[in-house]
Amino acid sequence: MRNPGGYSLIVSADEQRANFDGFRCETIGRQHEADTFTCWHCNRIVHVRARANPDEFGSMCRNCMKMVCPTCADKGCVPFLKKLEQAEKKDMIRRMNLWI
Amino acid sequence: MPNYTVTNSTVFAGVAPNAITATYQSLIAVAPSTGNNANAFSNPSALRRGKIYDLLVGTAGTPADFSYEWEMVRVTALTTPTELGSISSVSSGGALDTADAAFSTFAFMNSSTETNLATAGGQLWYVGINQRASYRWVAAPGSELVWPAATSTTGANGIAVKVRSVSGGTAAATATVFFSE
Repeated sequence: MRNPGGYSLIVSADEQRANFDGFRCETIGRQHEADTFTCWHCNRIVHVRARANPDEFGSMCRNCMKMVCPTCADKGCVPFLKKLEQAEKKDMIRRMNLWI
Repeated sequence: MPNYTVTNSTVFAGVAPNAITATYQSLIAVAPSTGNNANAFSNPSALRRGKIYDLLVGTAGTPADFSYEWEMVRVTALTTPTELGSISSVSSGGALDTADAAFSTFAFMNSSTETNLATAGGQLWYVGINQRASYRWVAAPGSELVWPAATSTTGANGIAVKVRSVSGGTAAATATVFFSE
């Protein structure tokens, strides 16, 4: 894929079946390489099968223009970093109250 | 951001890896902590955000044909090591550049109890592979797995690498995590 968000490598003694991301099984050889992307909405890693149709492994959010996983594909656009900042702000306010 | 590595090897963790069982066990869990920070615990800015950018998993021991499920999940990790039962913690060393200071993240290795590592939130990574296989994932810059600079009160403040056996294998699982903070 263009501009992958990562890379995975499986080395095994023999050909085997492997389950990727809980929704895709594939027979892989002794050395299996795959591009990955990290969902921009939930921070999940998705393995991308070579020459796969993009609809098989998620979607591109038309709002933030980033790749999202199949679970987040039908949901609204809330970038993961925004969720993270909200959690940190909430936690900081709690700790500041404790401090005072 | 300095880079660090933690592994669940006996030497580094101080505890031997557990045999894989039919229920998920944490091999490595990382969460924010005020451990080595110069700031006081009460300082709201003391916690640090961290990013996992590299992961290696596999098994040690006699090769056999069993299927294992590996996952990385968000966990609510309590940051008091004395509360973690038999989970070993290491909060020093691990820096890839020896000029860097030790990390402040709490790293828990070879958990034998999940009491203080409650799964909270989504599965960040999952593969089901044979015991004979080893796996590595490397993130491109900007695509790392991030944990928040927050305490356990907000939940999901850490990330754990877990494994379980699907077909009865009992090998010792090994994992190495590279992260920056």
